[in-house]
Amino acid sequence: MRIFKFKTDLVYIAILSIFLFVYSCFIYALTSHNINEAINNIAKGHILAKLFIPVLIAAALLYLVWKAIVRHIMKPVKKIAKIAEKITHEDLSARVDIKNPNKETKYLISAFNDMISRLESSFRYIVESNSYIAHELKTPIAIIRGEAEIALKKERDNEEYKKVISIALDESKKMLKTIEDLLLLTKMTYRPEFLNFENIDLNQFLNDIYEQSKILTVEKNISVDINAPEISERVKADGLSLRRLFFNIIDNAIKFTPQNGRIKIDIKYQKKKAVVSISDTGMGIAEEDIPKLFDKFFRANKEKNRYAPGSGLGLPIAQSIAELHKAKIIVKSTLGKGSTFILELPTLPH
Amino acid sequence: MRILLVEDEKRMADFVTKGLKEERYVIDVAYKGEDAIFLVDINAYDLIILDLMLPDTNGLAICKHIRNKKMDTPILIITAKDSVRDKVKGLDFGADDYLTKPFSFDEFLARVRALLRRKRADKMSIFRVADLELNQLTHKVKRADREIDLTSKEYALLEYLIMNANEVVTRTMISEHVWNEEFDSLSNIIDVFVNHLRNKIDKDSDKPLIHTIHGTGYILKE
Repeated sequence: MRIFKFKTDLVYIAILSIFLFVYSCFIYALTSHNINEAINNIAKGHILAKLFIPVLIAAALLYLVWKAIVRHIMKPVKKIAKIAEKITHEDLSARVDIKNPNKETKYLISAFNDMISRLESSFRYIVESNSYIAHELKTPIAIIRGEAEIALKKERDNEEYKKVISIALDESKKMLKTIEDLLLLTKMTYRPEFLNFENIDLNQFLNDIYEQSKILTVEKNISVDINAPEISERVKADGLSLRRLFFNIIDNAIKFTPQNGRIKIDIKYQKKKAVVSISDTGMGIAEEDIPKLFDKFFRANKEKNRYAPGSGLGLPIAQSIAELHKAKIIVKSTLGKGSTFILELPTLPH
Repeated sequence: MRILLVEDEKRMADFVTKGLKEERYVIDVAYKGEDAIFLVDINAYDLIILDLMLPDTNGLAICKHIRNKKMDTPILIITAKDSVRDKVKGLDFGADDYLTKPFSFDEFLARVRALLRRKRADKMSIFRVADLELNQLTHKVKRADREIDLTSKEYALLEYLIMNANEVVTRTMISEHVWNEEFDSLSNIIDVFVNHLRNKIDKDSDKPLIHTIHGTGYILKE
């Protein structure tokens, strides 16, 4: 950035001179005893001849002072621009740091730095989730490809081929589930208007979910109970999504609860909200893992659950659905004893 | 040739193990970083195949552990992470090669072979001692141009002997490089297999190649 540009400078000084001259003429005319004579003097050019050089010098001096002031004000802006030039998508770590800034600059600097911080964290998020998505999708492909290549290396018996085909089928289902879940999450974030809100009787709704979860728990011989107040209340919700939210939590409970365990659905109505708790007698979640539960692709106790199915997106989806319903999910857990997922959902007035 | 595979994804580990076993390598699998470090500390591996994303630790930490112990075992990283930054990091932490998932199994095997022959002066895949020939690519063994049919274990044993031709190999060395974790070191299984091998290789020849060094082990030489 160049501060002095000769041609522009001359134009500015000329404009300034004209203003100064016109101004001087006014003052001269207004302060003289004989206005007519004064106007005559101006018209004849006497004043211009007399004032030409002083006005020019004054204009040039004024211009220089003004330039200096601008330059001083622009100093931090220049620095900010320099830092901005350094920032790319690869490196967003630069921040503006100016000692003793004045009030206005301080405001500008902090706004600028905050903006970079926000960009940095969203870029980090994109990079991280990209690498997770890549991992989640590449692993099944690697398995299908590897199994197929090895199978084709030589003649094998039918049982071996069948095993390879069933692994391929399984892994491709897993990939499809991951992709669908990711698309759903994106849709909920960027196009939440696809939800279809209606008034829902919560007792009735949860009773249906309870009946269906009994089918899901048969295999592990887990008992399911429901405990609801006699008088139901209504909530405004998208039925399909809300079902999904509860089933994601229940699926999770089933996954981490051993054979012969217990799952309990408990409904309470408080002032303006319904509190639904789903508790299990599963392995529990470590304290430090609870905040991470809703991160995409997070799997607690991963080594123990090498065989546990799922895309790792069930709980993030439940969380997004809760947010779209102005509800929140609270998790309480004791390692080895079990976990409780509590959903607080606003109810409709009677 | 004994290989340690560190991979948390059960199915991934399954097919890699299966494919390597069919190439007559001896494989141990660690599903966790902790197990990997334990196995590395007690066994002598010829190659370590390492996944980077592990449940309890990062594969790079294992890389670092191995190099800090001044072990020069070749390390091949297999991972889904494919950015240049990750590759540079992996290689700088002491890995010898980096392969991204999904990979072609043939390429994977070629890299395994390349890493295993890195320490040798001649980089060929064919070994010759007198009129005995072993081809690592085709797994064919010939004595005086006559093809000899070997089982997987016999092949692995001969491969180890021929790679260390003219040097004494002890029973411990054989057990470490030709058998995996499930091996019972108290049995005389090594001697049994050496005898099988002798029967197939030296029986029809008047010049035996496998010699017993009493109290120590064996040597393959002219």
